[in-house]
Amino acid sequence: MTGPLEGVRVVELAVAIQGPAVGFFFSAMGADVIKIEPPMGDASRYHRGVNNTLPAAAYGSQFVAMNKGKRSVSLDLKTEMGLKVMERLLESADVFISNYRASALARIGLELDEVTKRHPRLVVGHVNGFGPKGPEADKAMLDGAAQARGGITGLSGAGGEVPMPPGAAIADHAGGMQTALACVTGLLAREQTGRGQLIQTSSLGAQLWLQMWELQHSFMTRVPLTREGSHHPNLKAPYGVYMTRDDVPIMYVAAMTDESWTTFWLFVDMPEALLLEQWDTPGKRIGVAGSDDGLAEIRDLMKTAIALHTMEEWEAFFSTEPEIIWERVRNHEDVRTDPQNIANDYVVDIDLPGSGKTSTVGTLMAFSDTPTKAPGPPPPLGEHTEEVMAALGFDSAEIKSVRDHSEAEKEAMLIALLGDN
Amino acid sequence: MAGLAAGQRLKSTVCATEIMIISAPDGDFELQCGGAPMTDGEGNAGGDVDADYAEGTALGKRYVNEDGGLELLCVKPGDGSLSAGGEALKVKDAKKLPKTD
Repeated sequence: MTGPLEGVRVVELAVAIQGPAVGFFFSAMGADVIKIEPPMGDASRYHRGVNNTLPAAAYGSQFVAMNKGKRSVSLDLKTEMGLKVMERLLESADVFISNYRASALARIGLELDEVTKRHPRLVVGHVNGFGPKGPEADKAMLDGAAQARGGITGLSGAGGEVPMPPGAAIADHAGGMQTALACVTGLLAREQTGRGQLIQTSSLGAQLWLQMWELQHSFMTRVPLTREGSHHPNLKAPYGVYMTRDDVPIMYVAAMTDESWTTFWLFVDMPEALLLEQWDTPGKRIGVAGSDDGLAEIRDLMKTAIALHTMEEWEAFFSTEPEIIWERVRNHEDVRTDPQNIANDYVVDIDLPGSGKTSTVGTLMAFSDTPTKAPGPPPPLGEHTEEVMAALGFDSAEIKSVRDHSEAEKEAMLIALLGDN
Repeated sequence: MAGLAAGQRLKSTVCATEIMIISAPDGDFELQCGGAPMTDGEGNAGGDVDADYAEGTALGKRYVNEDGGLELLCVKPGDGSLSAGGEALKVKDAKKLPKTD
């Protein structure tokens, strides 16, 4: 067995992050994931991004991240034959994933309710920007828009200054995660009912999931939380990021015992700080008391204290104080080489065309009875068109017609984009 | 010794111990370490630790009297043990904050 979902077939008609992330979850769990791509392929194949000196033939990083271990079938769904292959694929599948807008799916004959009716055992997982109902159900969305709409951007950045989007495409990633959860739940429900169903999630909904605590607090107090820069909106201090003497950022979270809190202040020879009423109980020290009284003073004290020692000195100190929760703020190279990530196979190696041996994010879930295997590289465009169509019973002429059409379409699009020389 | 105030630091005159007052009752009373009075001036004058007050102090530990009205924090450990008005001070039990995510 190559994972807990071996034997499950997933058909993915999705681009960029939010939809393909769902497919990646399934491929990481051992499912057979067939990615349907238009003749030019998922545009994320070509997204080069910053600092990228890899050869032009190398896959885009977004494509790699989201499409490992899948099979690629190139289909032009604007053609009758393309749709015929799609329908037969859906007939063979357990799960259909898409992050195309519902109206776009309807235009090509894949109206979501109809697909669900035509394939009653199919779990249809559809993720969009802002949810399936309401006046903006079909509104276009990219990550930053959902972050802004969901309130996360408004909570990020320094108070009184321009809000800042978080440093990662968390709206898309979270939307994908929630949709994966929805699809697996749909498969479990099918075990009970024998029926598939349409399950609709959104990036906006996922933003609310990511802030359930913070939103609940604002809803209950009727006072919206506000951004607090390097602190949490509801844990205003000492929780926060502070710089060491050698300018390394530390995320200080909490001292879990009176003893460790005392030792912290003795380490910086500032025991008088222990006398401050603002943090004279464990609850206040983690920030839950929520008072702004003396906030600037205690933030300044923390800032002064952390700046008294170098990162090396702090690491040595914290290593003797397991009840203090903290972390050095990492960059992505730190993450890549973090022994904890490597020990857990959270970061693994993969061989990629044009890039060679490269680190990538692993499956992130450890199953005791049905262990997962790190998925292989993402597929070349249309690599599996022939084998998938053959397995579905299409004859060689039909397969050739689909393949030739896709290649011709791709060439025509390349000429349109780049010129014919 | 005159009244004690929170934040005030005192040194042992017979060992390396240094303490900071966390809380103290009103009034004057004598705080001792190693059986000798503590001082807010120069510490450890080279005297001997009284054998009856030689259990030592531990860095970061809080010491309290019987009624809890007096609380000290050891900011530097030493060989003597703490007392106030002849009453030996005891280590205060630490409370652990439940972990939460």
